[in-house]
Amino acid sequence: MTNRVDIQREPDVVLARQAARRAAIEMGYSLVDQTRITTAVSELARNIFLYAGRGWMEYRHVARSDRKGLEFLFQDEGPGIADIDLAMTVGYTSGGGLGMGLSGSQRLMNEFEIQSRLGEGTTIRIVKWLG
Amino acid sequence: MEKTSIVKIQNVLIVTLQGDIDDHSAQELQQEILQSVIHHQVSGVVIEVSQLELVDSYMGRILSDTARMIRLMGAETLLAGLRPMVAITIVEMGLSIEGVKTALNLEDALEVLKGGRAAAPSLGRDG
Amino acid sequence: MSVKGQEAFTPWLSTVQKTPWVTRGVVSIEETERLGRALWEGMFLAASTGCLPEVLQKTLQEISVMGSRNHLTPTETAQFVFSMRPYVKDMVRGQGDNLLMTLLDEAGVYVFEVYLKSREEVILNQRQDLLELSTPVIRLWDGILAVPLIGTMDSKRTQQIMEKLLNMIVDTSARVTILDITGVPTVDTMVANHILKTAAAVRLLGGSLIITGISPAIAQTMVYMGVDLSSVITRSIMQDGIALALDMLDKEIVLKSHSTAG
Repeated sequence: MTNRVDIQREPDVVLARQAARRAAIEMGYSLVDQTRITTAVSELARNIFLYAGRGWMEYRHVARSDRKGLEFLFQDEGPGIADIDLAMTVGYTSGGGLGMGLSGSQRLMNEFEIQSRLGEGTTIRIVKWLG
Repeated sequence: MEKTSIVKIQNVLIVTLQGDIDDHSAQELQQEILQSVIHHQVSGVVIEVSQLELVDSYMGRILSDTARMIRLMGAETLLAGLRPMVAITIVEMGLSIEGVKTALNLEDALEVLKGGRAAAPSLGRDG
Repeated sequence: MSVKGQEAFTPWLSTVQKTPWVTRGVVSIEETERLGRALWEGMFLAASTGCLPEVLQKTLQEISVMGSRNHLTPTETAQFVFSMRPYVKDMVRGQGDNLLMTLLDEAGVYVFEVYLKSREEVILNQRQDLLELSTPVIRLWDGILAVPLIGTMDSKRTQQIMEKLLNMIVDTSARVTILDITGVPTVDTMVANHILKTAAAVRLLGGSLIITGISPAIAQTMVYMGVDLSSVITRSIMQDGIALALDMLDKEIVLKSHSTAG
């Protein structure tokens, strides 16, 4: 199962996090984990809209040994991130936010992986394990 | 926006946030609250957030900015009824909602504004 | 009902019946026969495939779990399998003894592994139970909660405590919470950070957090390590914390004689 939410307009950020919450509820995540997942998705979906203009989110169930989880993939073909370490720094922002988007969502999830190429786009993969 | 209400009771403005608010609506709401503070000449604003399911960095920024703007206009802001799960997420992300005082619920907030008791110390550096 | 190699199976089974499995009443004679048969047939299958088939693994798992649940040692548990050693050479004629011995060793090691794993699970569950037991949230007074922390604070435990405490604060409209760390053996930078996080979350809800149980040793450590707890209200003993909490709620404890006299 892979689902996709296109992110092109600002209200799509809301659609993305609502889809994330539904998926988290369906899989039986605790209330805290639902909130963590939804918040991280909100941050990353907004980043696509803010920095790349358009992109998409894909999400699916994943399993590793005896664990189950939810994986979200955020992809855009925007300008890319020149310095990922700098972008991950708490408080650093190039878009007028709090500069907590990337580092904050990393803290809320179990796995966080970012790949970016200048002029080609950015891909971020996050996973939250169940239980 | 249709889910959000702003009510004036005596000299306090009570703003109730509900559901899932997109960034643009949050901006508009800030405008509307500031306008209402001037229009009604209130001395206190309670932002009731018990129905808010999520505070991410953007919403956190809006809340803290709005509180600081209201203070510049001479009124006090209290954030009331934040959900435990939302509080945990805010702390774990490392967000600090600066300059906002908090209260357990609406009743508690009104008591603080009436001068009945001290609020929980405001959060962050400018508290 | 007979099995392949019946002439070796029967004497092996009577050997098993002399092991702690039967002598200590872990399994009945009938149960031994059922398990023994499954094991025996599994080994036949293993001999023909050269590896441990899934059906045999299932039997071995069953043996391991039974052994560990019934307080047999790992060696006693594996004895069920290793007792086959003198008999397997008669089990399949024409098969190289070496292959069977290797497979038997593999089966024995497998039993050990599953045994240890199931033990680990038991320990993990007990630790979880202990964690939950050791962090009660107490309604001390109207509007005041107390959390006596005992044991080490790690991030998982902090999360659990935070969740439980915050829900209680909302449910009971508690304005003040006293977190007593007398029972926390070491307070380092990490523990201090967990305390600060909890304090920040409590404040977001509109409550206040008082930390009590700051011993001279903890106070010294905090200052030497440069940990800044100045944003949190702290007291050395819980009694002072309670007095402060009552004061914050405009309450005080009055001696009976005073109140009647007044």
